[in-house]
Amino acid sequence: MLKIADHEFQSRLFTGTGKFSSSASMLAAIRATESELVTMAMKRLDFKTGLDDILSPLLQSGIKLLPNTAGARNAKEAIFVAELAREVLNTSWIKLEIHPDPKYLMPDPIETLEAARILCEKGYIVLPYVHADPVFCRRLEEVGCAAVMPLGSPIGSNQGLITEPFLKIIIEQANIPVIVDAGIGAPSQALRAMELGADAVLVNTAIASSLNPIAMGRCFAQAVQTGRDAYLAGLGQISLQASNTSPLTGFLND
Amino acid sequence: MQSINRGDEVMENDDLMIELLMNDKALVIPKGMSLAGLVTKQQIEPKSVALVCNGEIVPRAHWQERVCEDADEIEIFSVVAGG
Repeated sequence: MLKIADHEFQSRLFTGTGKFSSSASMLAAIRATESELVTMAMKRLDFKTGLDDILSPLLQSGIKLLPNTAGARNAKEAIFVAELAREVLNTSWIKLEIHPDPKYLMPDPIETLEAARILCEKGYIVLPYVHADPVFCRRLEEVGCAAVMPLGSPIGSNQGLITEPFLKIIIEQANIPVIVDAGIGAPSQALRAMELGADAVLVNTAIASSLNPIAMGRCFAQAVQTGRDAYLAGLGQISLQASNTSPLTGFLND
Repeated sequence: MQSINRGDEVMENDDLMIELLMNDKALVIPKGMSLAGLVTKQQIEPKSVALVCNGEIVPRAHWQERVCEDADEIEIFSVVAGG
């Protein structure tokens, strides 16, 4: 079973709550994924639109909530958002994400490491969103992060596992859970990440932007389970030349 | 207080009112109102928000005792959908 900090998860599919057409659609899709951890963001309350009523149904469902620090441009802001989130949600879990560039949303490693170090010292359970950089993931592990969340490709891009060779190295080296986050656009890509040995994946856009988010949520759940099973079963070796699967007796020439 | 247009009767009570900013919106409230009172007045579910007063997060446990001051800058944050 997947264990992050002191919490155990049956499901290895985590989901984001953004981009759904309605709260009802989001809740139904998340139920279909059987996710036990969902992400959310913090925002200054807009008096015109009022409160986004997603919190109470999610709390009622018993799903663990993982607030993120999206919108933070540096370590100081991210720490502030983490403190706000703890105040509202009464959780010390935080998905640390600092991506000042709005075009590609690439995580800033310098600010992320600094924020991770401070948040870990303050007792937070820190899950940082990072580039698929094996050296950097080790540094985050050293400062006490509970997991690392390397990207497959840019957030919301549905480009899949562009970073696959580096994800493999991260998975090989990590002593903390590796959650492949961002860019997973199809169940096959989630399956691939799990097959490689990722501990979990986080999917949002691929489900939210599907024509049928509930069906797609279910597909992702199956893919993640299949990928995990395949990893546990053990993939065969890849060879550059053929290796016969039938006996080569040459009887046709006899 | 000059931004608020009110009648003479209310103007006489100026010393009983204070003006503060809430998410950049000017708000006139009775003097002595607590943060808890302010949240209730705005019809906000207290459990759904975090309050920041002049840049400092005020823990929910202190909302009752913390009295709003004139020119306070209060920010209210809530949870929204996100990835």
